[in-house]
Amino acid sequence: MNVFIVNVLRPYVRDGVEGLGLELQKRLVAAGHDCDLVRIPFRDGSPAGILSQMFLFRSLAVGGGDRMIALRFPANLVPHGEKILWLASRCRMACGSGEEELRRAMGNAYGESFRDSRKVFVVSAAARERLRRELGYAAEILRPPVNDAEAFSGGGPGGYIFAGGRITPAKRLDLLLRAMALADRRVKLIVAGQPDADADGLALRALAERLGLGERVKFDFRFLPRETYARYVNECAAVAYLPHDEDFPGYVAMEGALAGKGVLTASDSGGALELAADGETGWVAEPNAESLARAMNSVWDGGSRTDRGAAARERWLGFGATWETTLERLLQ
Amino acid sequence: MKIALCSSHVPMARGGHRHIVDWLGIRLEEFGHRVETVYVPQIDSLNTLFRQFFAYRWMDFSWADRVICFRPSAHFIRHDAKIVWFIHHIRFYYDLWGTSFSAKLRDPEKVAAFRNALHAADTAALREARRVFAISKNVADRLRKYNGVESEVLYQLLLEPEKYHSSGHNDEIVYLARVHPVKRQWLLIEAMRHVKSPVKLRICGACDPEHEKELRERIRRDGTGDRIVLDFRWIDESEKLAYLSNCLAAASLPFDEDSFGYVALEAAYADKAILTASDAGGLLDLVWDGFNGLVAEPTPEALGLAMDRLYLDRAAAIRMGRNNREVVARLALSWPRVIERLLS
Repeated sequence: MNVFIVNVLRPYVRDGVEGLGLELQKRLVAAGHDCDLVRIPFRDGSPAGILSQMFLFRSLAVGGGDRMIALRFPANLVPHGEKILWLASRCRMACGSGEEELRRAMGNAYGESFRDSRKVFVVSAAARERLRRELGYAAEILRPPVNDAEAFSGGGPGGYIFAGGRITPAKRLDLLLRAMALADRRVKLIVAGQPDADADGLALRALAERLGLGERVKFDFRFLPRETYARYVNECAAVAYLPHDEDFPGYVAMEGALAGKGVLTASDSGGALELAADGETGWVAEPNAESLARAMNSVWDGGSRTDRGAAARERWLGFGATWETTLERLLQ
Repeated sequence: MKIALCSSHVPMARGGHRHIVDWLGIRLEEFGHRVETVYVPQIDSLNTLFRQFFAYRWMDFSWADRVICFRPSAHFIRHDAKIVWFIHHIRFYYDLWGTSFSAKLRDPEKVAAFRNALHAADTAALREARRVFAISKNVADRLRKYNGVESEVLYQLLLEPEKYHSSGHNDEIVYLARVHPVKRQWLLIEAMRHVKSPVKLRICGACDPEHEKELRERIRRDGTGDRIVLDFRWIDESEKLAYLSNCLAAASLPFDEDSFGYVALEAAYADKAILTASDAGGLLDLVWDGFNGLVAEPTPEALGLAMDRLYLDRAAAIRMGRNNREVVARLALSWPRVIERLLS
């Protein structure tokens, strides 16, 4: 089949959805399809800008092709006869009182795109629940697979918590650092990944220094070679992913679970909560430093790491999220 | 600098023109710039084109220090530092208007009105640009004639020209390109009927089954099968390099092309004489008749004669091949220069 994937382009940002689009294209081509990955600039800063850009996406002519897969707002507005939505990221609906009109316009646009689509998928149970609550729509869950599952074979119980992935304030890594300051001295942390901007990395280093964390925190700010990243995951005690209310469960959480590592997250993190059932497959803290510090301490309680890690792995495998089934469900 | 490269793109097409954008992106990053490339799917149909213009107008490129636009209608983007490297017009509404290439129009008035509106819109969008470059002299002429816009000719480049070389000259003339009527491999095949020397022809490239049938039928009827090698598939880089490095000469004779194209450019860097036709359009910017190749009339007889000439005067063929270096130098085909011009 000829398949279009439509994503938005945020300049110089390479986030999880971007990676998902690229991997999806690779998998489609490997399965014998022809695939065009379309990335259109979108700025989700100002409400005024959003409306005109909604027009923009509606004006695009993605013609021909047997299927079009849209990965996020406003790509879901691009007209196509055989549209599939796999909404992997949310557009934070304007919630200030002055933006009621914009909310309504966006809600209508979403609703229209649901009606115009063959299928509407979201990436987690949290996302499904949010869509139901905000737009009264029941989407199906299609979880993103781990791209290179063989790399995450796991390893020993590990001496550090691993916070891997994109380095940007939205991931609340500063909260993790503040928690480190309150946690036991034996708790160690590795923060690794590509910062969106140099300033983001520098801010975290400065904070760690102010908090006197010293050798307990290691920063590895760069685009990590895959083997390095996998090693960090395979050898850690637990993975940490605690953004505020995200749909996407977070690659480090998914990969960590697959590698048999429990997931540390916050009660308001959204998608990651599917993987981190407190007491079973991970540790769920309130989104403040004290609660997180307590959770981080308990990672080293007895056999906690290995037990919850094993349970996390079982849970992930139970989701059955493979690229084979993903393509099947997208293209059915 | 933060540079955005933006071009329109025919969905699912794998075109040479994407190299113009992608390779520029690679070289710009090597020069230390931060590049984002945006390909916008576009269908050049009357009913959707104007709506698509609006899409470009609303696209946010404020984060970029420079925006370089390529294939229409990317030049509709709004930006203070908009640079256009114009590849070609939507020619149906420009120089091909009213020719036999225009399909039978069901509503001639509507289409004529659209054409006028398109000219006005294109002109206005081009005038917004800080600078306008054209991929060839032909395209620069059309910009002046139809849009009243002056442009500087800026030719396309190979990403890694140093990979191309000559290791000798056998007895074949090669045409390594997508096999399609507009590329006119069929004309060269017909010309083989008039060839008197033992020169051979090698055609390599992906081909439609329909057209393949026609070509094989033609060869069968002419009885030239013993002197023509047909390889109807996309060949990879290393094969292309090998065929070019060993051939007697290389051919590229598409009809009225906008630019000289990568096929001829590769041949030039492989130090091989280039055989083309007088109506090939942009090719004539690169191939100087008798200097680095032969420009023949687009008839089987004239082309057959040209092929014989290349075979029978081997020394001249070799000399013309080497003269490509001077042509490349005189056309100033270098990445530092292209980047300097684009960002000046």
